[in-house]
Amino acid sequence: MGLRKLIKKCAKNDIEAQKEIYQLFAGKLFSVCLKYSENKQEAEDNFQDGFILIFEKIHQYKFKGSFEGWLKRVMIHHILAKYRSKNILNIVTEEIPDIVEVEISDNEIDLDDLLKLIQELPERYRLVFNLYVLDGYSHKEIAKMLQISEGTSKSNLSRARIILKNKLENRISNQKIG
Amino acid sequence: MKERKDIDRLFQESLKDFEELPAPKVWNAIESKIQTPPNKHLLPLRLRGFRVAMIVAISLTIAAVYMLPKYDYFSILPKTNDSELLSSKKQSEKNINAIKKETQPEGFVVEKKLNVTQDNENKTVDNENIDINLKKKKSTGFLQNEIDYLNSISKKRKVDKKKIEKQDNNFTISTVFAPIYSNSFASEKAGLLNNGNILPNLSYAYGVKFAYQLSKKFSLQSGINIVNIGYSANDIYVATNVSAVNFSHLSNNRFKSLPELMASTEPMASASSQLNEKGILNQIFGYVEIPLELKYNLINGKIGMNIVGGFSTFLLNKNEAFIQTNSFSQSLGEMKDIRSVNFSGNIGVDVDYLINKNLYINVSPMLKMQTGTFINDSHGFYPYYLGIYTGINYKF
Repeated sequence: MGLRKLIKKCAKNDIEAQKEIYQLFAGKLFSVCLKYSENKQEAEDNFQDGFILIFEKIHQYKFKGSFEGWLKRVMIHHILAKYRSKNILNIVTEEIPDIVEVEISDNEIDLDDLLKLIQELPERYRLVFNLYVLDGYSHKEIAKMLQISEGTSKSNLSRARIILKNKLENRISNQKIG
Repeated sequence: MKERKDIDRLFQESLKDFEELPAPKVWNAIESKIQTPPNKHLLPLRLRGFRVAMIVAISLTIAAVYMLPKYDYFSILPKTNDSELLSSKKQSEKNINAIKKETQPEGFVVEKKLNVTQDNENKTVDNENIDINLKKKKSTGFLQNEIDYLNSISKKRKVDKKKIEKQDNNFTISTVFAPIYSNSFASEKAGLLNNGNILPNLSYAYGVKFAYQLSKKFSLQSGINIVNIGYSANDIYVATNVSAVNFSHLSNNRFKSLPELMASTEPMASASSQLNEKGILNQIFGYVEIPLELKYNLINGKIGMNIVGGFSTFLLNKNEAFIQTNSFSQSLGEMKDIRSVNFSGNIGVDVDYLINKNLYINVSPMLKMQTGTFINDSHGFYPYYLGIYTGINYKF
């Protein structure tokens, strides 16, 4: 069955089609949730609610642009809405350097460790880092999405980079000691 | 070999193709939640329900007006013109003279069987529910639209929640249709005429009802009905000696005016069987009925059950009486001893069947006992009717 037909069936609440869509995109969308959430449990909660929302709103998808992109946006917005409701995003702007580098060799740190580092970031930094670095939103876009200023977005990003760099270096040095 | 890497690039490259499947239990949780119809179907369902309600209401109205037997009192009257009436009168007078003034005080000797007929007319209306639906159209600015869309999600959920809460305390508008079995609590000597034998009569009613949910258990309901009630005394034997008018206890003074024929003071003849004529005495009372009833919910679910009690106010808007025989018919004018406002006590049960969240049908057997119908209660005529009220109800 074609994706278009599947989407239309989902809009009619066809459980089989919904299951198929889920199986097709669960991996990609759960990885988004893992990156934007604090831990796996929270990621599962976000993923579950986000997927229900997707099925509720799937009739709004007008077959313009990538369906996967649409799914991802709905999921990200769902997560942002949750954190925004917690009012965690108002922070003070600080000026911090733009480029942060880390000295690392190939395969020195695995994927799970990198993911864990992102999850360990404070919520405000994690969201901005994900949006800017991993999902390609601009500071202007992030500012609108999170209802903060562009300066705050930049500041959050720089803070996130610094934290990640320090933690990464600590982890590498611990590995050496270990 | 170590190299300095931009931290952004490090994460981008490492997580580019990252995918991880959630635990199987997650789908089970999602599946259980999406089994219930999603909110997007609320509006279409409501509109569909409204359309169905409208179609059925209109069909019922048409059926009631054109297909069901409607008791037209005037249509049963023989078509007599003035000349026929006059000749009838002259013939009567001839017969009377031939009997040579063996006058009895009674002008009409009346024997009868009494029938009560009753017509109720209600009018049906329905209303449209306007649902709040948050819609955001995608236009040019992708990001702004996404933000708007994001906002709409949270707002929509709040509105949906409020909507559901509101539905617990909402208005209902209903169509009403009821076959009515009418009768009277009357003693053997009560009724329109002496030795009355009031026969039950089957009629119908239709109208509109409004209800407001006061609490989880109680709701208040009212409406407007137009009711025509007819009482007919069939098989009346009328002797056409017309010196005075006496229908036993149905005396002259019950009428505001009497026709010349009936009030004639010509010499009377005895009511010989030769002169007796079979006729019908009809009275029509038209009312605007305003019920006010309290409904108490006993069982709530797909099939619900309620107890209904209250009263109705009847405002008289039609009052006519006429006599009809094979040879003549004559209006008797208005009855003057009927109250312009009277009441009924109402009690019954209401069983409803939920079609969807907003639409349900109901069947409600109701007993309505009228009181204060006549100024002089000595007539001993206490009408009541039992109606099986059915309706299509729309909550909004």
